[in-house]
Amino acid sequence: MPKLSRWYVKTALGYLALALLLGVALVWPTETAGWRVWQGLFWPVWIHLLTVGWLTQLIFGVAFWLFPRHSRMRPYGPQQLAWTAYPLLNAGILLRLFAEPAIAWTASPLWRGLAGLSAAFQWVAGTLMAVYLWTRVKQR
Amino acid sequence: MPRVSYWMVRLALVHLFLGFTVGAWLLLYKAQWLAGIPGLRALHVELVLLGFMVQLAVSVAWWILPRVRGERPADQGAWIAGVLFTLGVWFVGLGAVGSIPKLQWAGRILELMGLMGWARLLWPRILAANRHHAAQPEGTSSEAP
Repeated sequence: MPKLSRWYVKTALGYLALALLLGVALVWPTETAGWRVWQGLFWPVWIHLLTVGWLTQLIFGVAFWLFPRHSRMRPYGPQQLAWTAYPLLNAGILLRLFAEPAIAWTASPLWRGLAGLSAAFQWVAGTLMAVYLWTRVKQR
Repeated sequence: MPRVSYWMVRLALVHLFLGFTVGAWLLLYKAQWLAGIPGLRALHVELVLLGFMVQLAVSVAWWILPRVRGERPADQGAWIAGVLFTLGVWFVGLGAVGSIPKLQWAGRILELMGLMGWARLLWPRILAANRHHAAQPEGTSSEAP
């Protein structure tokens, strides 16, 4: 398994664990109104930890490994796209972890800016991977 | 990669791009950088979960699952299922943005028809894998990596 795939898959497993832990907190029975507010604020974060952090990242890692070879000379093709996407995707997810609940709580320009950065990082990462995997789709 | 998988995987990647684009818009809207558009969340969910993940999974399954008696079924059924499913994704998404419940309903029916078609085509190939494995003596590897 190539190094980048191992990074993607292991990171995906980390997000799965984090999502499951957060999931416990989100459904923890509580009568405290404040705690319930926080549970609601972190709900979209939980969904994206699972769908982007775990599922999409797992797909990226396995696809990088198993999709048809780009060419004999460059079996993994323009892999710098996939390498660049990895830190951007994860930076985007981690920023989202804190910024998304924060912007529901405060109109602070700092948190709004960080949420915007999270959106930009995730979008660029997704685009890079879509373009990269496009080059690995081969008809034989 | 068979032709139908080639096109369906590429379509799934288009859905990935569009789904992430709509998702970024939603987060930027939440951060008060962009205006909201009704129905965008439903479009985002449809594109990412169904248009990308499910479509990629079934397209790769069509390519990678063992063949029955050494042959992959003709692509015609897979094309029909793929087209129905893709149309369904778009009907649901556009119905959400345009607030057209009947279009969303029609889209869900098409998605269901597409997936039933895929399931019918892929099921025998899953059983083929099980039968092939059962026939192998213990400790031997049946498939090349």
